[in-house]
Amino acid sequence: MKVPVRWLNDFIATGLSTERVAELLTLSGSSVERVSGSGDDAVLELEVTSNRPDCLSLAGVARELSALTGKKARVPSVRSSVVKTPERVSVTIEDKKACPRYTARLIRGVRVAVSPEEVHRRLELAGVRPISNAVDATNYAMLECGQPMHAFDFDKLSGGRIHVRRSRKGEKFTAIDGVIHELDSETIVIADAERAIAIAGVIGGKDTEVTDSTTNVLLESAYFDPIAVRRARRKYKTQTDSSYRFERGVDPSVVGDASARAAALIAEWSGGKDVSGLLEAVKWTAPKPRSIELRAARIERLLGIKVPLARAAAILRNLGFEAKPKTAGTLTVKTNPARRDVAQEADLIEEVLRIEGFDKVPGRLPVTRHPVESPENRDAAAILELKGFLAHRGLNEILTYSLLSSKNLSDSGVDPSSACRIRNPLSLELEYYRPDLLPGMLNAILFNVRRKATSLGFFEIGRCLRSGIEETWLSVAFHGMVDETWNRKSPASFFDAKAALEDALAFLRAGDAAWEAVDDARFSTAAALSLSSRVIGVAGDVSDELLRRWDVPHPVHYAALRLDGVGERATAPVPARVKPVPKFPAARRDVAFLVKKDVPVREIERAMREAAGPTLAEIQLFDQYTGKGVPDDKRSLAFALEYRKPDGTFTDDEITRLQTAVIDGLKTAHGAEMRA
Amino acid sequence: MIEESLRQLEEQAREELAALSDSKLIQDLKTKYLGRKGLFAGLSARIAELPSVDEKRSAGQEINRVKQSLEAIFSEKESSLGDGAAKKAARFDVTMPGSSRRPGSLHPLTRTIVDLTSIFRKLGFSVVDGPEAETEYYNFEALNIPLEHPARDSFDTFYLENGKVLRSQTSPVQIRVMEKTRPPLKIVAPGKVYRPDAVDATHSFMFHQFEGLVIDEGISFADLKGILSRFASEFFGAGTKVRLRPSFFPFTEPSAEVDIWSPTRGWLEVLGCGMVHPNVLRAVKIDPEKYTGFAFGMGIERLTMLRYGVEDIRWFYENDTRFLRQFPS
Repeated sequence: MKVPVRWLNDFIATGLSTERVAELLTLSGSSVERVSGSGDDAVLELEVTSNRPDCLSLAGVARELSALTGKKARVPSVRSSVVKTPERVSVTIEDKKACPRYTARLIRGVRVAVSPEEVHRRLELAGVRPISNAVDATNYAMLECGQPMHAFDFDKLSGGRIHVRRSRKGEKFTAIDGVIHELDSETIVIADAERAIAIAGVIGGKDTEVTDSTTNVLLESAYFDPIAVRRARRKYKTQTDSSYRFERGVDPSVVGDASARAAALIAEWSGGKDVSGLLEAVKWTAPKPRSIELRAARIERLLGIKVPLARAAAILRNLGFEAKPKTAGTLTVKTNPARRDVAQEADLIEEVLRIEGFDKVPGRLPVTRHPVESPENRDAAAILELKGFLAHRGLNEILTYSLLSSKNLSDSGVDPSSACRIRNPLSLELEYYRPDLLPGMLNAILFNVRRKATSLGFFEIGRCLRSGIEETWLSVAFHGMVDETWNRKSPASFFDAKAALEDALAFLRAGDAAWEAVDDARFSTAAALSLSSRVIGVAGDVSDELLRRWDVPHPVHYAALRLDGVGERATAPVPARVKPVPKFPAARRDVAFLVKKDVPVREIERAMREAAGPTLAEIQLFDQYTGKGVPDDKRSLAFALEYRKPDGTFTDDEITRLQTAVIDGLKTAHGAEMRA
Repeated sequence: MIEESLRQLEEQAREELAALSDSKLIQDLKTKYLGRKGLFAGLSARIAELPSVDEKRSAGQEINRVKQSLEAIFSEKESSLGDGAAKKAARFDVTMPGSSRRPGSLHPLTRTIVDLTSIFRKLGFSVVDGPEAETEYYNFEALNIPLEHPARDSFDTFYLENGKVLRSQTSPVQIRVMEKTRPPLKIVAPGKVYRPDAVDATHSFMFHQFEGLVIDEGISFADLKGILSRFASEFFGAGTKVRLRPSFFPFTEPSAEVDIWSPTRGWLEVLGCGMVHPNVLRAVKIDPEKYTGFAFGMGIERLTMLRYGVEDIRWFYENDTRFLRQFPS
């Protein structure tokens, strides 16, 4: 809402500078975004919140200033008269819910011309384009009192009648702005005997607009239901000053006064002589105001300061409310149709505080009690910790958009039809809520690779929607080198991704996880991670096909882990029981052998344990070798074995027996050939 | 046999050493002869192969002699080349970079969430969480945002095909917590929210909010101001000036916008807040006569942009490592 200061001065003389007025309004809730122009041409640009349609008029802004400064506001006085609809204009309303009040007024003998210079200037400052005296009068009066109105060329109205009805499906309507709309069957329209001549509360029609040749003007002033107007505005994508106000709610009791004011201005500016009384289809009666009780004790309880009831009453009266003392500690306040946002006691308290000033309340830290049961979400707390851990571990945290295109999904090996689609996407790039973190990760890698990054280690934690269930996932990926200094270089591998998940699980104290090779088309090599035999993650080398689709030149080693429920153990207060430090030293022996490539290390370890029994305390793989001297279908593995007894050390004989058992076990189970 | 080999070894070491003057090479030579796996150690081990005790004793004596002799010639050579420190310096270049791993980084938005969480935890708040795919009831109705109300325009929303919406603010978490836990309550809820806004330097269809809620007996607007002043001085620096302006949110009454004072940029809007609307309390069956409370919600992107001078909101989602690595863990 643009408020020209010279116009506002007609309504209230505050005696204050424009800057001070701007500050007063801002600090009472009508935020002045900026003051444009200066002196006579100064304009306050107000950002009016959607609950305050009353401030979309000069009268409303003046009322605010009156309450803030104690100065009286003057409203241009006009008198309305209600006459029964005479024969020459008939007004009928089909839908009384969508249009509870409709008035028309006929002004004959109008000479359409430009408006007076001052009117022109004021409208321009207010951001409304001047058109002609008759049309400008409706806008001028709207800016003054907040009631949108429309002027029809009466002679173009077929049958000289007004009918407020629902549109017929497929009915064509050409708006003043030249746009042709095909109406549905739900739109409230103003029609003459034949066709729609306006979309109610939104925009008038081209066919019946006031032109230079118009001599008889039919002035509409009505109240339309906010929901009906909002629906039409959205449906026909037509936002106007009128729809903006009706949607937020105008004061139906102003309809008559506004019409009288606009008619008087038309007559004054265009020489119109014959102004009819108000033609009203149905006699409108204002709904009875309700009473709200305002308790002094409640004010203090909610605000933390005392406001004398007399002061509260004065503020409310200045704002246009009827307020009377009820008891020593309470006021009775009547609702006001201009202020439908004020409906209960809390609303009144806000009004009082707004005018008193938010700065009247001193800040203090609350004295609060603690909840009986902690509402803390353990997952959320654990995940914040986990993020810190992974960052310390050398990974860069990324955050990617949760919304993806169908190409993003199919390029990542996800069938778009399995993902949750958005009904009203901003664009096709953002059509699906992600079911997986892989596309975002590949996108981030691609972005950096294109900027010449060679080594990347990323992680992300975020939500995914899978078969309608919202899950929290961790993803990690490595690209290029994991270690790259002048004296050490190691390229990233599957095992870096795997280790990141294992470390995360260890950090979360999630328990022992098991890995199993699986087929997953997205990866050239993949393994599923399970915890208590439930699959909760995956690790794999992204397939060449996916890399090609994403145009990523080098391998990406990826792993993902579902985090739902991890907080339970991660934040468990009881640590594992400590084991006593061994009294006797362990004996370490190495064993190295050739074995078929397809025998997994886990199976080899199992065979060694079975052969050696419980004294084999630890097994550590320390080398793998393939290549020269090793047959193609085999690999050489070397393990360090640690034997331990609780009650003493081993003799040479015992150790030799254990090693022999291990070696024999490996030979029998997996055909291992020992190496010297 | 062994004694003969020992004498040859001694001779050979003398000759090789005489030819050297570089301390690194001398050190290498010393390792070659006297190192743990050096030539001398190799010969000494063969003492076990000798058949008789006498032979072993005699060989042992020779081993000791040669060892002492070798140590003496090496130490003589070393001391002829200057003092110990100079020698070490010559051995390697200590100014070469240490072989550290590159540090990781916490995303700047996470960093803000961590900082905010820690500020509010010290004040007794618990961290909670809620779904991003929400029902319309939690996203709108329970928050006193009626259907077809213009207030919904400020909360334009993505609708999912499964009938849910992507939450347009973190406030639904308030409702979920109040339904489950009776007051007294002090919670914060960081999380992602979505609104169909076109993307530019300050707008994004996906962003993060940090929601706070306090419900107890006797909580007033003064308490809200106190908590927010504490937040401002902890987050933006001690003594940060705070201003509250009336505003409108359907779920609070009175509602306020909070500005902080910047000496260079004037008043900057940082968050919205207010006293919890009685309709919201009624929706979760908390008696508004007995309990009062306040709620606040801040844009994490905005706070992070103000704090670190980030000029474009899109930088947060590009994940350029040259940006991310400016926030090392």
